[in-house]
Amino acid sequence: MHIRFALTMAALAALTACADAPPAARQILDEESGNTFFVVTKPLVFARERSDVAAHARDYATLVAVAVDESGTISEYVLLHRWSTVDRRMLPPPKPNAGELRILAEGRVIDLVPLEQVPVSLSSRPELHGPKHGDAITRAYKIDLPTLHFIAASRALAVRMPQEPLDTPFGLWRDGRASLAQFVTAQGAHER
Amino acid sequence: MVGSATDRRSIGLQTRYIQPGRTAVALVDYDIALQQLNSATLIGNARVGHSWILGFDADHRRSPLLELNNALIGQAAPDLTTLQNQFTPSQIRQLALDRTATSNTFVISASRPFGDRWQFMLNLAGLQLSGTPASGGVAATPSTGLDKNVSLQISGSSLLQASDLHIFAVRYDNSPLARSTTLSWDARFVIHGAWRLGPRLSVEELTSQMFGGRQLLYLPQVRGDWTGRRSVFELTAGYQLQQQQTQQQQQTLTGEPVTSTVDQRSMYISAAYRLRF
Repeated sequence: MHIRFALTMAALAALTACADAPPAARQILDEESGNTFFVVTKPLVFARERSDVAAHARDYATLVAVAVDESGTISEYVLLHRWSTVDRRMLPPPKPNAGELRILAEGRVIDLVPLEQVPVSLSSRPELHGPKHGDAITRAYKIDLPTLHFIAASRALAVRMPQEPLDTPFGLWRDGRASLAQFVTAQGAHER
Repeated sequence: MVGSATDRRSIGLQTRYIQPGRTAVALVDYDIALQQLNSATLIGNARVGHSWILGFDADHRRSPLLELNNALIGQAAPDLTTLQNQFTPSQIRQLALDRTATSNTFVISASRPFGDRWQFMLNLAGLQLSGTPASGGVAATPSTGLDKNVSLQISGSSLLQASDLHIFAVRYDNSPLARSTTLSWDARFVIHGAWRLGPRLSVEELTSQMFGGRQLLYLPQVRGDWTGRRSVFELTAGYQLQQQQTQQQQQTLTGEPVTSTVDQRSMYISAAYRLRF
C-alpha cells in the first residue's frame, strides 16, 4: 500500500516537474510545406532610446532563433523584426536593402547578411514573436548553432544596423539568453 | 540700456555633469546692475536599477525677469525716461525690485517603462510665488501660497496601430485658493500619410471659494494635424461644459442652505500653420 502510494506521488511529482519546465523550443508543423520548425520560446529584444525625436520612444530589434527541419536537413536562422514606437513621420522606415545586422557579443563582431527573401515557412506567422504593430520589417539570416551558443553565453550583447542612417547601438532590452541556450541545447541533441 | 540707466546687465553660468546613467545641469543668472540673483536652476536625473529614472528640478527665480523696466509695472508712466521725472534713480531701482516677485519651484519625478510600449511617470511638484510690497503708489500683491500637485501618467505607443499614442493621466492640485482633480485621456491615431487625429477628453473637478463652490469641467477636444518636414498644419476643435454648484444661505422657512447649479457651454475651433526653419 505504502509502495503504491509512494509510486503515485513520484509519478505526480514527475508530471508536475514536466509541466513546470519550460519547453526548449516551440515546435510547429508547416502544413503547406511539410517542414517542421522550432522557434525559441523567448526572443532577444534589443532597443535604443529615440529621445531625439520623441519622449519615451524607442527603436527595437527583436531577434528570434529558428531551426527548420526540411526532410531531415536542419537549417538554423535568426529572424530580425525591426520595428519602432516612433511616429513614422519623424522616422522614415529602414530601406529594404539596409538589412545588414551586426551583433556585438563579448567584444566579438558577428556580421550577418540578410537572405534575399525570408523563407516562406517563416514569413508572418504569429508564433515567430513578431510585433503586432510598429511597422515591423522582418529579415532572415543564416546562422549556425555554435554562433547561437556563443551569443547565448555572452554577458555583453548589443546589435547595430550599420546600413541604416542612424547607426547607434541597440542595448539588450528583454533578455532571452536562457531560452536561447535551451534552444541550442535542444537543437544540438536533435541534430545528433 | 534705457536712456542713461542700465535696464539689465547680468552674468550667467551654465555647467553640465554627465556620467553614464546620471546627468545634471546647473544654471545661474546674477544681475550685476541690481546686484541680485535673478535665477538659479538645478536639473538632474539618474537611472536607478535597470528601469527607473528619477529626476529633480529645483528652480529659484525672480518673476518677471529682473530688470529696471519692472519699475514701470502699475505706473502710468510709459517709459523709464518719464518715470525719472517722478522718482530718483535709487527709487526707481527699489521700485523695480519691489515689483519683481520671487518664485520657487521644486519637482521630483520618477518614470519607468513597462514592456516595450508602456511608460509610467509620476511627478510631485511644489510652486510658490511670493507677494510684492506696496510702494510708489502701487498696491501690494499677496503670495499665492504653496501650490502642491501630484500627477500620474501612463502612456502607451503603437498599441492599436503603428505610430499611435495614448496618454492616460490623473492630476491632483492643492493650493490655498483651490483644489482640483483632473482625469484625462489624450490619444493620437494615424489617419493617412502624415495626417494624425488626436481626440482628448478631460474631466476636472475644481473646488474653490473664489468661484463660490464646486465646478465640474468637461473638455472634449479633437486635434488634427499634418506634419511635413518643414511645416505643420493643425486644426483644433473643442467643447467645454462647465457645471458650477454653489451653496447659498437662502431665506427659506427652514433656513437650510440651497444648492444651485449653473451650466456654461462654449465651443472653439482654431487653425494654425507653422513653418520650421
